[in-house]
Amino acid sequence: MKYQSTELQHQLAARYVLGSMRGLARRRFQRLLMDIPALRDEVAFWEEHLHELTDVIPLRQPPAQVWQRIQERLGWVQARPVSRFNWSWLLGAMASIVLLVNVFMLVSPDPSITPSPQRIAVIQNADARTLWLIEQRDQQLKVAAVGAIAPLANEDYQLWMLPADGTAPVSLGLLPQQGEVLLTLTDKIDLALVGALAVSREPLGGSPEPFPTGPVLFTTDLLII
Amino acid sequence: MSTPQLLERDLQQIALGDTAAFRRLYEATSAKLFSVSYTMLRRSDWAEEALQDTFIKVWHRAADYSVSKGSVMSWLISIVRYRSIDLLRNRANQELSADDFDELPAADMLESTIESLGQAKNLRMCMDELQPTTRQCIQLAFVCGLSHQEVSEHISEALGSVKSWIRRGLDSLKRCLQR
Repeated sequence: MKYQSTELQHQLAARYVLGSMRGLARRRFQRLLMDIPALRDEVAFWEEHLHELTDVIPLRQPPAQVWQRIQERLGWVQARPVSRFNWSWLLGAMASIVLLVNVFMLVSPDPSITPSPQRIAVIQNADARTLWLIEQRDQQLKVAAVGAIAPLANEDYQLWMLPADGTAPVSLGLLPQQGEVLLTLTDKIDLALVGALAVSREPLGGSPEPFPTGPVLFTTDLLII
Repeated sequence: MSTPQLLERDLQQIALGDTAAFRRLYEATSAKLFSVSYTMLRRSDWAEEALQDTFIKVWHRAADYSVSKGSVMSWLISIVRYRSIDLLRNRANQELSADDFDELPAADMLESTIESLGQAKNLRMCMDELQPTTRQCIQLAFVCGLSHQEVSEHISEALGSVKSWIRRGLDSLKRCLQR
């Protein structure tokens, strides 16, 4: 086969990497690359060497919306209000959360002393072990770490509200790795609009962006009681 | 760890679905990849598209990378360059405008950049052995994404000469790099 000719392989691979091979010829060559290992070696040779020519190009920062668009295309953030069905990306999260009202009941403070929570959520890992209990009273969330939480040395767990209308997640605050915290919600946050809650792993102090940057580890529903 | 090792580690993590590693890789490489694409396409919106496509591919195909294919940065540059070349194809019948020519690096700028190729000693040495016009043709094609026809117009030389210089220049370059 004529493509086995070393000289021809060298010529074609160089033109391919250089970029002077265009259109149909380029697509045809890409198919040949899959079939002929020696061609791939030739291409790798030229790539490794010629790429050094790009060292001379002054660096240019891409606009911030590129990262936003990449996340949208990967389904990690929402571009605009859409139906709640589009939160299905969360189904791929590493673990799921189920709501266990009875677990909450066992550990709930005496309702005669403190006002009853209006909503609760239980966050569990994939093995159905409870990690956090969340209770809402007006504009405050009481969050208790109840064990089985994988400790993070240089990162934080962050709690997010996923609005039912499919708009972008809203941070509710950082989750404790032990003990309890009280998260105060701003007036802008209306828990009546919650579609689900999510927990992501973020840099210390929380996501540097107004959306999750780390992996979404758990999701759950917020139950009205 | 050196930067190449950090990039390799991040890519391995990305193959496992680590979104934080993906973000780190983006922050470490996006300016380089964007500038490579922009220099070829000379339009920010197209370069942004090429960059997006590149990172979408990286997320889905990180497991395809192997060290035997060269450095992570070289692998990423291949992806963004080939995507940019695909985008260039869409304007294959569209001649370079006067504005496009204005944006191309001048010959003396390309000459000075060759001198700045500090780490790439072999490449620099071998590029230096080429005739200046041949060197310029290869740079215009590779760095600026020009077709043979566009190179010919840019340096006001016959198309046949440009093709021949590039072909023979690459032959010489290969012989030199393999010495």
